[in-house]
Amino acid sequence: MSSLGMRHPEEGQLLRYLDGELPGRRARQIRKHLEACWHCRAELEELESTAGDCVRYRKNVLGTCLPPPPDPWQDLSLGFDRIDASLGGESLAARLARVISLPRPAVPWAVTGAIAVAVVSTIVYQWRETPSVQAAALLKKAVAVADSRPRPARRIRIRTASVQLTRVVGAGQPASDAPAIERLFRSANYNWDDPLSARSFETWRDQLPAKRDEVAAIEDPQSPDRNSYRIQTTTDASELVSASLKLRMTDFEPLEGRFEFRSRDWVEMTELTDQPTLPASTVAGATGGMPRQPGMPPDRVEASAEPMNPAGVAEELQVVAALHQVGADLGDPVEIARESGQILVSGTGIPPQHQKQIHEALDSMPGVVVRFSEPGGVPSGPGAPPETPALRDSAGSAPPPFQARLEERLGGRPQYERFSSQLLDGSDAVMSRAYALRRLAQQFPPDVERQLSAEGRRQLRDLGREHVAALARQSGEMDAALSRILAALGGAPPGEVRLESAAWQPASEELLSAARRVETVLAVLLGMAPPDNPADHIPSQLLAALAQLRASQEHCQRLLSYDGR
Amino acid sequence: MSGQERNAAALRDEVGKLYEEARDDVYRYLLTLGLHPPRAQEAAQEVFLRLYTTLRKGEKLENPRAWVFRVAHNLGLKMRARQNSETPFDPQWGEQYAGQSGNPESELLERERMTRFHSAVEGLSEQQRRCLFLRMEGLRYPEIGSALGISASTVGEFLRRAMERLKKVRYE
Repeated sequence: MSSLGMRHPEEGQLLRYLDGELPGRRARQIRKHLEACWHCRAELEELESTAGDCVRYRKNVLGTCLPPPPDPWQDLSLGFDRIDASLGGESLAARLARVISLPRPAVPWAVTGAIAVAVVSTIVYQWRETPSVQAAALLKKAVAVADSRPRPARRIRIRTASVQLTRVVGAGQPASDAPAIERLFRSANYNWDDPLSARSFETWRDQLPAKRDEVAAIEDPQSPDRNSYRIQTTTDASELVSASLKLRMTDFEPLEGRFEFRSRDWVEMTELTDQPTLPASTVAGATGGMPRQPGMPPDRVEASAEPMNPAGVAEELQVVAALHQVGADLGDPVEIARESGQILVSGTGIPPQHQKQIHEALDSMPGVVVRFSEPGGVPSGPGAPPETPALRDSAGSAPPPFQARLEERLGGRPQYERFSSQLLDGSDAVMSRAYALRRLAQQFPPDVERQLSAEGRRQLRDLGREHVAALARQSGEMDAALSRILAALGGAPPGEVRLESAAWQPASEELLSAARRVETVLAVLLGMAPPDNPADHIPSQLLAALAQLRASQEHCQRLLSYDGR
Repeated sequence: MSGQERNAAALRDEVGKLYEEARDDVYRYLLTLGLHPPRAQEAAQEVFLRLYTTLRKGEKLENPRAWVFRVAHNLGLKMRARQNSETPFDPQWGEQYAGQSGNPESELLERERMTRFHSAVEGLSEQQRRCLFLRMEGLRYPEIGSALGISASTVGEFLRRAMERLKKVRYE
């Protein structure tokens, strides 16, 4: 497409271009378009000026109006010493287990998965330790997992001998919804603000001068992803004489807790899993169901705490399937949320043609509301002088290390351009499928999937398999285009890839992580991002990343094909 | 000195340098989350100790600065939740603002402009503001997405909407 013939970039593309966040081919198209289009150059200049405002705001407003630190900054040496001592004092088994654990990926959900996998490995070695060591190690790992991922507001059901209630934690709400229970926990110096968490349990346990621990692995043959560890700590040194916490094996999520007090009161807690993990912006209210009125405390009545009914999940699946039919799950910023018993599908800046398709797909579905909003337009300023704006060229001025060698091997510059464009298009397609699958996994985690009928589960997994199959086709083409040439550039054959996710939902996160790694290393190979490591390693790294992607997609496909029910 | 000790010394040096460079940025970011200054400072220091622990355990981080902000964000939210008996920290904006030019007239104009800009920032949604602040700290879209638990494309959309609103300040 010629630059003159190219239409204006869509909303948001200029900012992504300015921020160096566009794939190389698209960035090149926009750069060519900008050479010809004054209007877009003026838009870009405005964006640059606004970015400049942000820089001045950070420096002159945030930097001067926020109070300075109240104390001198600590020298961290003492902290480093403490850490070194604690690491040096760990059991040989723990250190061995750490050595065999997987390296930490770059994104939090993948971190969570990796830590969980590492922990499972660690348990094998630590199981021979005393229960106290087991309990401490499990809690430490569970805290690390929890700290490594965002923690949205969540609901827990609390039950005592006389009352049942539902409470929202993590939403910054005052913890005054159950004063009698709160008093019990406070008397035991147990964190009532977030009682069903590994950190609260660990903090309480650590302060006990004397305690006894028991750790048990609980297997659920009907549903292996509900296998869990139960830690029980008893003591005579606290008002809380016995506490137990059940942690899911796959991700160390706290599932249940039971707390017994000296006064013979007891409290049980269960995390409610009716709210799929969604970005905060997509959740209507902090409870994830009916929006809570401002100033009102969290729900107190049990009736409102029932898990999402199966019909609701099924309807949501139909919406997802309908969006999939029109390709709206592959990159459009479309969000799905529940509000007042309806399913709200919303999006901003969706192209009109796509809006029409989405309306056609969803308008006939009962209980589904489609809302689009347009971004507030800003009238363009007066025409900017026709001088070339200072564009950020992601390729930089230095020649990319592999470009010349690739050009030589491929037969010239035009062949190289075609080669890199095909790869970047392929990587884009892989990423959009990987994102779509991960999003599906977030909307239908294992406990929500179980609420679906057999037909619903089949439909959900068909959607997942379709994404993986499309991803496999694209990545296969990339593999074919790259394997030989990377080997010729000195790339070493990849090593063995280990994948241990037991369900397709966590596996989808591994798959996205692998796709992201391919995208990152590919950008370095093609000179669009600076290398983090010596450039010689790039061919080997890309071969390894492709192998990881291949293994991840095969693993995902296997898990999606096996329902296990 | 053993290889392990040399490694620890190098990591101390690496984390120490980043601590010097970024601790004030992390502290300010935590204040914008609503943490009170003592808590924010405590959290900022804790984040760098966690970074050291993580690196000592042999984990490889592609961008330690981005990692620091991600962990600071999560830790900040947890600490903010724990301080919920207190009013969230709300600084008195603008009173201490000092222009940089030395020219009273241009300083006044800049002050007015930054006041409007600040109002516009406060008018952003929480997610837009978080994306913007993390972008100001130099994080890339996927890194911001990792911190906030959203996709990079959603980060792009939040940032686009934020920039649209902030652009309007230039025409007010």
